[in-house]
Amino acid sequence: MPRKKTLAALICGLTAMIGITPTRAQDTTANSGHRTIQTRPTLNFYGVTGLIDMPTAESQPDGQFSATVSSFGGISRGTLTFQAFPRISGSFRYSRIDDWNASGFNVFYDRSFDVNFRLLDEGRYLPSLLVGLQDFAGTGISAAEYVVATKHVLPRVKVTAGLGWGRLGSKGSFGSSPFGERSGGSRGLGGKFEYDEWFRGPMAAFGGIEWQPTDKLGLKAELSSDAYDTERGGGRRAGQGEIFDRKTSWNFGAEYQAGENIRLGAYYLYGSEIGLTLQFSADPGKRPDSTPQAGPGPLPVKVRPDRAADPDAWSQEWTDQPDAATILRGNVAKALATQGMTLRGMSISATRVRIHLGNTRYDAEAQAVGRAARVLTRTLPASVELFEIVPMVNGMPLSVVTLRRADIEALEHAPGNDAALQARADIGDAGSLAAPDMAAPAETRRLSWNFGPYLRQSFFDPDKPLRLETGLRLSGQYDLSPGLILSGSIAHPLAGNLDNSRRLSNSLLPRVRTDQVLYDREGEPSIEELTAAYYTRPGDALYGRMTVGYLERMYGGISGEVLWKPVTSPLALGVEVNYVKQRDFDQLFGFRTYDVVTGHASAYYDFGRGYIGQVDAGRYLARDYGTTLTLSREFANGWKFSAFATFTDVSSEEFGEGSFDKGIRIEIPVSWITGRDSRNEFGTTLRPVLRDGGARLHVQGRLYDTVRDYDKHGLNSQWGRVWR
Amino acid sequence: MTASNVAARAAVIACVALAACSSDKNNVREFSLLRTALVQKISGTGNEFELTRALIDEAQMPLMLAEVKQHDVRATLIPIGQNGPVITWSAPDGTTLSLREGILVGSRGLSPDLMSAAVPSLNDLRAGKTFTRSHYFLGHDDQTERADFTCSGQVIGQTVLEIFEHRHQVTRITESCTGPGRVCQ
Repeated sequence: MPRKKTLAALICGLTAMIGITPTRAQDTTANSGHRTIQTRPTLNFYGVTGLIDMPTAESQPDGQFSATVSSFGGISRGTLTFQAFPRISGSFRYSRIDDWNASGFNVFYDRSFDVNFRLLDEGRYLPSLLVGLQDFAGTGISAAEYVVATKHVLPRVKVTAGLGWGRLGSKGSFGSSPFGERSGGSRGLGGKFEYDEWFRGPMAAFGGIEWQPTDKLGLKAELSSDAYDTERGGGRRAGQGEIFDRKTSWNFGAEYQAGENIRLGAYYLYGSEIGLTLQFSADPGKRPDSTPQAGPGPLPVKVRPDRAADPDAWSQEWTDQPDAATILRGNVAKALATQGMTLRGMSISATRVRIHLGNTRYDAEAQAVGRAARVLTRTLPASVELFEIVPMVNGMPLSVVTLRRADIEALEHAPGNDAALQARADIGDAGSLAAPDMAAPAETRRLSWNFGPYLRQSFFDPDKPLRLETGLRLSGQYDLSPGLILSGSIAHPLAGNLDNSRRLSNSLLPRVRTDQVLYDREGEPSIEELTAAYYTRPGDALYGRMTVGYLERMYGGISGEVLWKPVTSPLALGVEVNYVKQRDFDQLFGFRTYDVVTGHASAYYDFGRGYIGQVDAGRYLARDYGTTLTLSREFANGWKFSAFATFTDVSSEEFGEGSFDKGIRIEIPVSWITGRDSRNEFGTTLRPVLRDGGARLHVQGRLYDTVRDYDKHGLNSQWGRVWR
Repeated sequence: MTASNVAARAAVIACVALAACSSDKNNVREFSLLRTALVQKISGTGNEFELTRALIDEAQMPLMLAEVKQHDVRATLIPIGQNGPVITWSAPDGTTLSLREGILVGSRGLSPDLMSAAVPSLNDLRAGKTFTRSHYFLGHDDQTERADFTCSGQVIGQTVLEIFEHRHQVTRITESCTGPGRVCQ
């Protein structure tokens, strides 16, 4: 080994490598004809792209996720915004107004959704143009619509002018909308799309200027067209307070970019109030600089000796030894274990091997396949040329990745080796593969368990918007045979205020979800789940699941599902049928009297670029019939944003507050936060109101999300890590 | 729940959070992963130990001392594999470097990872040729990003390098590169 000669070159090489690593500009740049724009689109008090209290016509970079907290004059807003498409963003907001005394609450809480659409991009002479709907499906307290234009007049200075209706047409109105009058007033149960109100009634102009003298500092001034009539006593009820004194329409502020993802702002608003914002903004598709992908490297490829020089090494005589396959299987299992993976089965011949692979470590499925392939180069005789790697989840063989050993040897250090290997790899369906000749070397029955703390939360209770509970959870899984799995989870709360809620159900429907608080009050300990599940591959493109037992905290019974999903197809179809009975509030072994047959036919479509649509049609827990529409955007690293809405034959009055079920779901992979290999994730579903209409059963191991990680798209989406 | 109860239970939880356990090493709970990442940020990777001439002589295998000046990190590596002219070296924490004729063509664990590279041969460098160097990095979105540089080598001359008390006659070569928006040597 040429150690002494290489030392200086290594230092040079390392320095060169670090020194010429591509850097990422933090600013969003765009070419505006003759000059380069160097400002970043910033957020306003509503958590959408804007000035201070007014919006602008800019968009965040595609895929950007923002969380904003703002406060002034007793009004606090927390907003999550996602730039779901390059031109379309959506926001979910939770607002708090202190000392307002509205609707019988001294502190008033409100939930709202926004959406905006950028019609035109900024050009050399023309501004960008955006149309937006604010609070378009809530109680309507913040409802507004606007059309706004923004143009850079200098590389670091941009001006904005807009026209607003609703709340944004309430100050300095100069006319009425040609589309008609706005009825205003209460929206009853809220939650509906009040499209017959949009862009109607008085309209007013707003605008402002933003100057970013440096990359970190931003200065803003704006003219607001929001009169804050509602909060200042317009339409005041007896005792309803005026929460702040609006002296002018001018607002001023300064913002500071405190880090890669954090921006802070301080403002003087409406001539009387000091306001503050804290903005977190990140591109989920890219790991933060502070937590890069790390972790140990793989075992290197072991190259076979030249066949002509060492023909004995390539001999196939090993196949005559009766115990050769068993020894090799043991060696492969041990080597895979060093990489954090498990061997679930193996078939081997003189020239071909097929391994059934269990991966609980690598979030990038291609990385698991790549490491398994390198393990095989180190453990198998030279004559074995073809590697068939079959990832297994819940005992189901999902896909089969076929690689040639010669390619792995030749490409390990070849420039652009990931694309080269991708071109030569074959990804097919493992549905009709025969079972492996040999099971795993250890017994096929395996027990896994976890013991540790849990955190449970509830949002948006008007008495306490965030309730938490923490305690201890013991969960376990016992694989009786491939595909037959016993699972259980028992939890005991130790601290928290989840059980203090006084909000008992007032539902007109069977209380299939609104009795949640009664479940939270009891269950010390609770059996969260206790099931037997069987997973199977009836054939190519087909997957099956049957689960029996205590399926979730509120229901037990039987659940069956069949999914059709070709490994290379964007379309998948599924059917799920369940018979369940409501569990006792103590969440032990007893049941209440309510039972229901519920189930759905589902269609899933992968539109590409991470967009996935899902339609579920069927019968829900409260025996209502209807459809759930879900649109998700998934990033290769596992971040996932979903928005869903359910429409059933339950009327708004029967449903109650919110009128119909809707919400968003966010999933964040642990590996994105830590930079370490992990398949765990944080996930939470946010609903403005949890009611009984459109409620679905929660059952573990639903097939679509289980199998798609290892389809062709799932493997290819992170193929860059196949040599990681 | 009384305040003292809450405090006592919170203490129990704090203890358990540090001791969460699992039958599967991979199934590390979120708390543990976050804690590990935090500890490593504070204390470093644990690759450092004091290398001496005695240790080098005792090792009876090639050793490589690598230093990343920007991160103030040093590590001692040993060879763990060879594929043709490329030798892969590993640090105690599993970070690996792959070198062809002493020139880096790959790294794992030194984020961003250099997944592969087209680099000049030593002969090209000695001959002072102009060539294209291509680096394939693993991007933050798990896709490969390619960066091309136009480079040339130059022999500076013979010099004596002392490495842990042993003096070596070596040829010093520099490589100068220009790429999109940057120059390095």
